[in-house]
Amino acid sequence: MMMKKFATILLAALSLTVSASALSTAQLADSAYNKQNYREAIELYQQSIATEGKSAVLYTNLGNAYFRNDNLGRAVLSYERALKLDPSDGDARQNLAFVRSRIQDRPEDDSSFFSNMHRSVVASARPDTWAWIAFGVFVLLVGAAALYIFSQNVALRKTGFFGGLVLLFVFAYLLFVAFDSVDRATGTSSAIVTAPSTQLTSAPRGAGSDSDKVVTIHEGTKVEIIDSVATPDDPVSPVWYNVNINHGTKAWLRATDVERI
Amino acid sequence: MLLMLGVIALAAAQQPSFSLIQPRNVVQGRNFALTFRLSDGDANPPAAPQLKGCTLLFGPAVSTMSSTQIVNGRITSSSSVDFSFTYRADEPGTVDVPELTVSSEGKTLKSRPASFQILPSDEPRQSGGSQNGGRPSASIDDPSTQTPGRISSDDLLVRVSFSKSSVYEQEPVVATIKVYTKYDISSFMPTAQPAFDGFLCEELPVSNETSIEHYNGSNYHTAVLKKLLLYPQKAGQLSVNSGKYDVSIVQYETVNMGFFRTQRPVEKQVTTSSNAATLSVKALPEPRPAGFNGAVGQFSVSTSLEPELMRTNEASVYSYIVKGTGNIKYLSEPSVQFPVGIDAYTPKTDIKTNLVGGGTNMSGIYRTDYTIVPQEVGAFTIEGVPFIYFDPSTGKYETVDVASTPIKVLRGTGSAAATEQREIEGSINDILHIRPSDSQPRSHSMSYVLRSAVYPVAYAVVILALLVVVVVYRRHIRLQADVTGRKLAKAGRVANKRLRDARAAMNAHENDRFYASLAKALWGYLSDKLQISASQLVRDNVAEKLLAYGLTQEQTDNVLEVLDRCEMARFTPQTSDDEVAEIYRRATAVIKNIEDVRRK
Repeated sequence: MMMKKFATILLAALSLTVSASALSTAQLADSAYNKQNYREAIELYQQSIATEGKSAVLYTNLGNAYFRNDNLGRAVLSYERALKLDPSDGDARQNLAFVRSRIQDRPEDDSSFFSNMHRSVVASARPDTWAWIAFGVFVLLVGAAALYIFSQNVALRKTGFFGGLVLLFVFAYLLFVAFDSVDRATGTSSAIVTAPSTQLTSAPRGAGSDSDKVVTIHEGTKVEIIDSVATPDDPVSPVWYNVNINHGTKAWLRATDVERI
Repeated sequence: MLLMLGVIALAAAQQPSFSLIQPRNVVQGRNFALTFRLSDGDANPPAAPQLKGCTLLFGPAVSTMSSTQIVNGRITSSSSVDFSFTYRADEPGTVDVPELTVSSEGKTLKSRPASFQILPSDEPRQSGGSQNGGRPSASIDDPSTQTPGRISSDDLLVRVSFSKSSVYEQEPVVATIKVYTKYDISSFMPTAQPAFDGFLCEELPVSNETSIEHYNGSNYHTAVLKKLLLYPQKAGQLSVNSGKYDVSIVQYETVNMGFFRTQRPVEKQVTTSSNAATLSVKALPEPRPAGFNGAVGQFSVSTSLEPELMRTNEASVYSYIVKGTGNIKYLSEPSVQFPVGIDAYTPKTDIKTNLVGGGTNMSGIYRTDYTIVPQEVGAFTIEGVPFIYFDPSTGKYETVDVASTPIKVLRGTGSAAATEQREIEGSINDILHIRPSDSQPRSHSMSYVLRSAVYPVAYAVVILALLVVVVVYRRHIRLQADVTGRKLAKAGRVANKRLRDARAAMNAHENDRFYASLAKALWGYLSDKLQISASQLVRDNVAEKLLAYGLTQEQTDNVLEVLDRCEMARFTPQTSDDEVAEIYRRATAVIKNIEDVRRK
């Protein structure tokens, strides 16, 4: 009941926003894309995101425009941003998979069966949906507890007890999924290489000799930012990032070569 | 048989023809003959034509020639009559030979007009004179000047010349290698072939005819050694050398034989040095349009589909035909994309070319045949691939738009594969198209319900609701339990009270009152205890209820006996005190029994 009411409120909010943004920059961007003016489409989409707010669809479209303009790094970045907003966006996921198959570096796949399954579970709905599903299961759990407490019938009490036990585990997992989903949606540690290629070094300085060089990675590759180094003059914007690539290889790269998702 | 002979006779009867034997160029001052030939005919000699700048010396001279051949019993015969006119060339310039008419066997025959050149005579050479010790330089067809001695580089040379001095990349140009000589040549051996770096080249057929040309102030016998069609592959100044040749020439030695002087031929070995010619090649203008793959010239494109009515599993041929002039041999295959559901095999390319423009350009057909086999029934479209070429005459890129070919595929007959079910399979070859950007709500910042205050509050509300329900339920249960307890207590107390009434009557020895109050107390107690309404308070019903309540048959019988004794005693007034005491004791025991059952 509560869910339903919540959904109604959400729908009402939806229709309000939609009617407010009639004839927008985004629509101009769509028509520019359809006319194959991809450069213009990119600018309009960016402008639209800055002024009219962001959405998964908008980021997916921006990614498409970048891809058509042969900028694979920024295309990957845009799709990742779309999926960050809505992990269940199938179009963004499919396009990302397609563009990933085109980039130069292939990340090593170290995922197991369970981590893959968990990842696909998390990706199948938005964080808020998971939160409410977990809540719904919690309500069922409370119901099962009530059944155990109040029922005179032994069979019903047994059902309530064991059902409640199962529901407890389900609830725990769903709550974990919901938190994981929110963490993924709000985390800023992932970044995408947007420069055509960048040299990873063993220290936060330019590669002076060959021994400083770790590896060269290319646009579109995803890295995990662990740490950053800024200059004393401008402590806010970092100059070097300490990043983690496959299998915990740690190295430094220039902050200007990557962009956080 | 007769008919066959007639056919043979017809075939053998040849048409008379009249032609001018193409005159060669002549040098000023020399005599030359102009010959007309009449084949398979008979006519009077024609009048001599008037030629500009020439003087008729003699003519016509008539010579007749005939030949008969018998091959496998077939007889063929031919005859010809030559009419020759001898002229002297007086003035240099171009001479036009007018058409000449003869009548042969009632038919009027005309020769074609032709033209030739009278070349100026050799200019006197200062350098040649000094080098050869005052000896006059050699001139063609004049053995008296072709004395043995050093050969000047002007006397024998091999030249390369291009048909155009400036071309675009890939634009065909003809290179001609000619030998120029003033002496007769007895043998000719190439020692180094000409090199054509930076060109794709193709040899053109050359005729063995020699001619006379005026070059650099002298007249030479010339012969074409090689003729090549070159396609420049890079921009810049490309040079070609003519190669090296070992040549034996014939010179004439004057021999004094006492009474008269005669001339004797002497051979001399000469090596020609190579000369180089340069061609300036212009790069194709940038930017090159997308889809341009090196076609230079003038082209037109057509497509065809054969047969047009397509059926599944039956092959059709889609042809992409480029016609035109230019580097037709070096075109690349068009990238025709066929729709899904139509299998295409590796295309077959067929190139047919012929020389045009007097052998200076290549024209032809570049045909690409795609064998296609439709697998599915339906309407499809083969997209036309535009053909882009560079036109060197305008210096611009031109695009030939090729119309798309709509095709309709019908079900083929007797094909098993057509009825076979297939899985729908797709492969991702591109990103998905964009969705309307306004199909989703937009926000500047994301908020998550999990991180909001609403979420824990919702849990708290549910837990609180459960607690409230539990508390309320517990209280309700307790209240319910109190009601029953009170009723039970009340039943005991009432029974006690009623038994107390009965006890008082017993002590007062009022036996009638004792039995009445005892019966009342017991019935009332049972009514309350077993929760039987007064209307259903009959002996059988009570027995049943008591058994159901948990009393044994013996105890139930006991209860009923007590009740019966009470009833009976009320109608038998003479009862002893002992009996009364006994009944009272048994009634108390009955109540105790029932209470005991309850307690269990």
